[in-house]
Amino acid sequence: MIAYLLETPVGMLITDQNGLIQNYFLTTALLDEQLLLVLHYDESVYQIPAFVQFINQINVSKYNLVTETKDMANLLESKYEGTIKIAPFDRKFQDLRINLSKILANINIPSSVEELTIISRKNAKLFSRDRIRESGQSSDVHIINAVGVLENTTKFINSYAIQLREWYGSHFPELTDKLVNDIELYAKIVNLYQKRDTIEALNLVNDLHIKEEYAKEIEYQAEHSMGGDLTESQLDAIRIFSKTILNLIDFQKQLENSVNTILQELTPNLYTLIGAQLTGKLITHAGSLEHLAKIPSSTIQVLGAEKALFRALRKKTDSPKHGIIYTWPPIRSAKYWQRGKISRLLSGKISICAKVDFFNGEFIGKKLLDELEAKIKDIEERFPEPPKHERKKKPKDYSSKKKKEIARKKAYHMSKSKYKSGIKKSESN
Amino acid sequence: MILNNARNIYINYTSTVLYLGASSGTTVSHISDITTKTIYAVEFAPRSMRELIQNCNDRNNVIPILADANYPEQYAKFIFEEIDVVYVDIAQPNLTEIAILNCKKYLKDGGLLILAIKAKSIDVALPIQTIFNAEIQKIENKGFEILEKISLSPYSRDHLMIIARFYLKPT
Ligand SMILES: C[S@@+](CC[C@H](N)C(=O)[O-])C[C@H]1O[C@@H](n2cnc3c(N)ncnc32)[C@H](O)[C@@H]1O
Repeated sequence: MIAYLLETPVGMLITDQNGLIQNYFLTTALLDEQLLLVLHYDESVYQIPAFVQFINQINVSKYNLVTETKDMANLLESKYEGTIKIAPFDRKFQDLRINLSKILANINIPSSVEELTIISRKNAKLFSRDRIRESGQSSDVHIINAVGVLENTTKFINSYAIQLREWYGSHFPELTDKLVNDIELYAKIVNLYQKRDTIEALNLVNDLHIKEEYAKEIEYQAEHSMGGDLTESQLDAIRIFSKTILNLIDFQKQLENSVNTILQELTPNLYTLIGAQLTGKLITHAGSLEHLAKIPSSTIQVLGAEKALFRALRKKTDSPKHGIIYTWPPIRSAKYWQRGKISRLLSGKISICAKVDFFNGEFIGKKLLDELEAKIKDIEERFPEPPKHERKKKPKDYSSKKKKEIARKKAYHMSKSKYKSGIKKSESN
Repeated sequence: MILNNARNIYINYTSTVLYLGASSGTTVSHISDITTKTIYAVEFAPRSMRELIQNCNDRNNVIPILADANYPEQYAKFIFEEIDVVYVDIAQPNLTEIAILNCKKYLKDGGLLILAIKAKSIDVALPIQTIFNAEIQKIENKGFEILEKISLSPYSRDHLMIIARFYLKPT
């Protein structure tokens, strides 16, 4: 016998050609989590007893089932023993649907239009909210990857910068990091001119839009350089290297933009409170936005300082005051005795924002930021002086000192050079 | 204004509406003021849906559905009544095809299709009139009766609103 599987706000109905209900699976009494499984055609619906019962019943009748959706057919495929046909555009379904109140009245289910509206609206909101959340989670994965690539890119750029300065330094050592601190500008100079005696102030101003005075200083240094001479092909190799660095810097900027855009959408509150970079790092360290939304704010405070935290627990010293939230400029620039207080405040606000962002709430980021700034000001005013008592001395930690020693030697051997320019370290722990 | 008038003529307090491309719900809210019946508001961008849900929180006759209108069967489980009007405002090249699919599945015999066409989102290269004509042709080929073509020119020559009546072919 041909039977229609009609999906409705109150559940799944099996009707015959005339709309007489043969079997049904009601979803109105399910918990929200269970209802979501049904709405998403999740395999786990087979863990709902009432659904299993429904399948068993229709397996007895072995109808030639007609269903509207491929998803439904897929879900039934493994357990249903009759045939299934997918017919999304069979008008029979709409004919049945417009008589839904009558059909349901036969089996004593609340079925006025008002009641159906309430139920359908609740289902649709539950379903749509959950899909919004899922779409957020897939952006999570993108963010985590992008943030990882971004961090590595920054590291590459920083260490290439050292090598470029060293390499080109043999030709033009006066172009120090004191003179040209910005590596992008440095690489551009190398890329454009290579030979130092072609570096002229006028060109620098025109090509790189720097101030005339500054350009003249560079020109002067070039004229009076004590650097050695390089062949064309040597200079060309350096030029290609500088180009590579410029490309990396471009890539870094683009990736940053993309992360910005996504985070503005995904986490407008966190984005407003602490900016894209820190938001991305927090999500990465937490593993997902969901996890970040669920951990307590005290954990957020030390996220990224796990090593220090465990060391502190082991050695019974002070636990760290902050993890990656240290990169938030107001903490970094705060007096050391204020940092702990500010960190605690900040992680509380981060926790709120993460929750609201994850559960798709309203926009409160600006309000929280204002509050936070006011409280920081208050702390600065109330604790202008360092506390009188001595800061606890850290117990000597030979093992980590030794480790540092080894790391330093390693780094020395790897770079085989003492020429260290003042490139900022990519990460502070 | 013109559009508001048009909506008031073709949508009344007894209209049940399937609205495709609800975005954050500006137009849906207008319609919700007009009709006492249900508006099924379909939108597939999560961000817009988020706002739609917020904006329609107090509008008990709006059912916000996050779904792709290319697959009308995916929102069948939320619909429980006859559809009087299918309103399509999705800036997509295949919007007319999407509109036809949804009418075919849900619209009642003699029901109305309201189709907001934005020429630029169909083809940026072709002349506007050519685009409009092609879309009208598609609807007529499917047996719709064109009731009215509302142009927004001179304000926005790029937009055309088509009102058409849908007839179920006897099967
Ligand atoms: C021009 S806007 C609609 C504006 C809205 N009707 C109003 O007046 O307030 C088009 C909307 O259609 C949505 N859209 C595009 N393709 C879609 C599809 N296949 N299914 C559902 N929505 C779609 C877009 O996300 C966008 O929000």
